[in-house]
Amino acid sequence: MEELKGKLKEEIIEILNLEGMSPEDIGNDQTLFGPELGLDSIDALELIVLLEKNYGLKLKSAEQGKEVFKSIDSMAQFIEANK
Amino acid sequence: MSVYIKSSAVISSFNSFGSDVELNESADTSFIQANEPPYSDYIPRNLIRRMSRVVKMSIACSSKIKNDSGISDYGAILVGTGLGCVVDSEKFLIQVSEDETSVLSPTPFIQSTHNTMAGQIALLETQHCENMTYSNRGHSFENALMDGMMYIKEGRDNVLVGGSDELSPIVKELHQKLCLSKPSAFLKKVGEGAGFFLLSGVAEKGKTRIEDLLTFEVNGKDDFKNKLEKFILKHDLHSGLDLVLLGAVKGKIDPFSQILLSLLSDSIGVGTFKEVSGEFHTASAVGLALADKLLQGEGFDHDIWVNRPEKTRPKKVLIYNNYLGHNHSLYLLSV
Repeated sequence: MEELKGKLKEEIIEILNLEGMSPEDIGNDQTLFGPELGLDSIDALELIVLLEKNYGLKLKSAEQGKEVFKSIDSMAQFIEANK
Repeated sequence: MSVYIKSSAVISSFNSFGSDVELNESADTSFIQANEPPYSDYIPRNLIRRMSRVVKMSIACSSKIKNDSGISDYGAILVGTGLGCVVDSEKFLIQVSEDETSVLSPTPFIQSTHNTMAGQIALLETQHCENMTYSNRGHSFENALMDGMMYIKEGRDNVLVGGSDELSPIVKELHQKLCLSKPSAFLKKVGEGAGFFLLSGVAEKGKTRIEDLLTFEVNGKDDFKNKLEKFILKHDLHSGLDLVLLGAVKGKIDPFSQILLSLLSDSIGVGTFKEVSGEFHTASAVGLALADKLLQGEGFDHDIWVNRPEKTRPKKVLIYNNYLGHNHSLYLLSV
């Protein structure tokens, strides 16, 4: 699980072009769409594409997206539970 | 009415963002990479990640001009680009091809809008004046500049004009293939960069004056020679010209540039700006920035000289450029 979380952080930094950030800068339980990372709706679309392309997983609804994209922990749990 | 360059900024293998900047010499000898400034000094950090390099170069240049000149209200914002945000356009098209449009990520699509630079500067600087990005191959920058000069002649002031292009792996490959189909004198390293200028109609002592700008296509060498002779006669360039800055490289002066040199006095200084900029659609913006630097007496330490000018600070400079033998342009500048 920790390996998956590290991989997710690296993927997010690369895909969202979070310049100057390293995986250590993102806490496992940190809110992804909070003020610290400052992600927005375009980033949400990028994360949906990431899940589908890299993990073969599709979200069923916008509500589910809100839960899954809360943090690195919730994304990793969703991937583990559905792989 | 005359047009003056009030302030300029350049990003090429050299840049105007620090003092004593070394040339950025790539290990790969087939291209010249821009020596980029630290963008976070000029662009809000949260916006940088949504900008392609060509937009970052343009915004950094406009921001430097704003800081240097103290002018924050423009009469118009006009930018020229040959290929625009080509890196993101390539990413987007590769995704379309590989994924067959099933799962496309939105960022390369959004950032692949290729004529976006002038609009992005206007948005960032909250400018409500006209903004336009021209994309006309090797005359993209010249058409933006010509529009800017017309705005000045209509009475606008502080018109921001620039030219900007970025390199991508596919552009490098295509440029090399394109060069192979040309006579060897047109072979140059491909380059990238940006040159931006704040134009004004108000004369200021010591500022570079754009006396004339001519763009043209030619039907053979005789036609080219005729056009040059008319320009030389119009401005009496047989005397008083200190320097010709060619869009060429030292070892391989192209046939058109050679015709120009044959029509001018041997004592005139000759420099080659593509030695340091490389070839790209808006390389003449870097040439104009370099000429402005020389006319302002800033000097240039790097060896671009075929014939070093006698005066350390030239008073009258002619720039001649073509893009791979097409899209010819002549700029006459004085101080």
